Amino acid sequence: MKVLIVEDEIEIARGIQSYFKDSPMVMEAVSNVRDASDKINLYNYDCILLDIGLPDGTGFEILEEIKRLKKTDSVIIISAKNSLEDKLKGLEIGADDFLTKPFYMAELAMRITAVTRRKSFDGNNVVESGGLHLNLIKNSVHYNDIEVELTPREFRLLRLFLSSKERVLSKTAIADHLLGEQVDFVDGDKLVYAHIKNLKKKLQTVGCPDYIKTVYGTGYKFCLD
Amino acid sequence: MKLLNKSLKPFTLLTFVLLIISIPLFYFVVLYIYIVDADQTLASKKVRIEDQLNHLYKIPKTAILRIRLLNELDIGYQIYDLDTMSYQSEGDRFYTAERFDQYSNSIKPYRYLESELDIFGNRYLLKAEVDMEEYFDVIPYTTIVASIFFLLILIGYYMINRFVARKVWKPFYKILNELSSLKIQNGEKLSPIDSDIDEFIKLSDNLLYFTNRSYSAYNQQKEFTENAAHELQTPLAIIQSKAELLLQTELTESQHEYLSQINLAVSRMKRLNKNLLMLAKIENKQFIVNEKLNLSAILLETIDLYQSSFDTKSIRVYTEIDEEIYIKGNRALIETLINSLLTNAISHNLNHGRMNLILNRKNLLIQNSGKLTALDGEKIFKRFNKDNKSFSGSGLGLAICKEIVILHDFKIKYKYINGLHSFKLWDFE
Repeated sequence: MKVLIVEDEIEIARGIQSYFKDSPMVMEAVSNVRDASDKINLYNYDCILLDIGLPDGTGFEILEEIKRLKKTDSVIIISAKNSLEDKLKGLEIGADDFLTKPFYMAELAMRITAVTRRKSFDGNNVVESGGLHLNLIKNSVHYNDIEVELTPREFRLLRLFLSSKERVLSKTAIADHLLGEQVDFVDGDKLVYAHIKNLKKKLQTVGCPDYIKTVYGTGYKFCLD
Repeated sequence: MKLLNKSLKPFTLLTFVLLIISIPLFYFVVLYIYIVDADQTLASKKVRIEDQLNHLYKIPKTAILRIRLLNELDIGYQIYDLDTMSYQSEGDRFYTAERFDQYSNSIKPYRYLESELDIFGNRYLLKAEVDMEEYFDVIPYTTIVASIFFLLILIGYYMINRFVARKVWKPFYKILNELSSLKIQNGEKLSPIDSDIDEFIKLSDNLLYFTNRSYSAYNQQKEFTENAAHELQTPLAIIQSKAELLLQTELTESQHEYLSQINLAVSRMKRLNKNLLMLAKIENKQFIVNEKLNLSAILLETIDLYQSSFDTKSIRVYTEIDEEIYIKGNRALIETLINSLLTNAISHNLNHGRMNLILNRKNLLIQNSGKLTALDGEKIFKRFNKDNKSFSGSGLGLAICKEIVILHDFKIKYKYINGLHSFKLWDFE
């Protein structure tokens, strides 16, 4: 899977590249509108991560060009400006998702899988791993055909783990994912702990192996072994 | 007290005091004039009687008969023969005394003169009198006249105030009204004063200068906060992504612990930034507040969201929520408001504490147990208030609540009632 990063902050682009180094995603990075436009005209990408504020223009110009070229590349806007107008404008032109900086890599990974899967598997959107089947349309989970009843938050949690397999997720990253827009939620750690405990318990009752491992009490990791 | 009434009060007082003093003063002056006048009359009467008795009647015997006749007539004086009395002459003696007057059938004051007469070598005593009744009437009359003048002066002064002073002060009141309703955060500006009075022009110029300065200071501060928060996003993003990368490498337990602390600090700073930006946006009026919202539904959804938090702290929650309470506002902001208030009520609560959530047509009441002392109802809504810093919140939650409430024209108040910290939100309909 090919991903293009359009981001003028080189450190952020490099951070994303390093994080996805071992994944099947191939990350390319450009830092201005001109280079981005060249790349888009030459190649096809599965997903484009688009910053809005660029030195020689805005990400919206690139987005408009993608639409003009009738490309099917998925676009995720990554912007430092969490303004509703930008969000609406981006989605109106045809962006698939909007992520406000700073974001967690785990969150980005999940969003990339989500938008690319939406395009390629319409209607039959199931993530599978280690016997677990997550239906992203019906929001249902099965382990070897046995249904697992999960709350919406537990489902979101499991989905995050599946899109960042074999990676350590910090408690703060998980809390951020679970709570989303809620400002000032205080006992995020406790919330994460409670949800993971419940999720593990529910998975155990259907005979699913304990995939979710605690890493020194500071983070969690989903490993299939 | 109003400026125009301020000068009226001492003026009234002064007029009143002068009036009080003037009444006895008037009385004594009039009395003095009367006495001087009466004494002169009596003295001239004496001279005339003595002169007439000595010269009109050439024979002393006739004079004695006249004296007797005069005494019988009783026309304001009596003449007594001093040879039959042992009277020591002391010269002319003037005095005031009262006696019964048979003609008016009342006791009246009189001015008397007692003086020795020399008629054909015989010594006589003259006792002459003048009626002094009129001067008693002076007191009520002067009082009445003075009161009428006092009233007239007051009415006159009030009229002058009303019609002249009001006109003179009009530009002053105009600028005062404008100043008190001026909302600098809305970009409103004062209009210059329209007057030919130097002091007012000077006042207006100075006010314009200062309001414009605070307007630009306000704008600069707002822009600075917004820009600073924005500019911090990128370095934060870099720290966060590098920390995440580091987390994927082989680390010892203590390194993990450090990393976890870095993550916490970053996440706290992110929240802070987010809140500062939110405040800036509310102040910039970037939210439209005319959606019709079901407050009951929003509250119930939020309570549902926080269920796990109630459970972890074992908080007993009592709810009394009327259905279908609609308000006009901005959904994102109202959700933030409810979220912040609930977060606040949870994070400052005790383990095994209580929380009351009451919503009806009139108000929303959120109460929680916690610290056993009341908080400062003014300070808690201020940004970065110390009382709020004990937990990992940004110290902006309640400041944001306050701004949201102001933007929506609602009202919010904190009170410590029966050991519960209570936040009351009202005026939302």
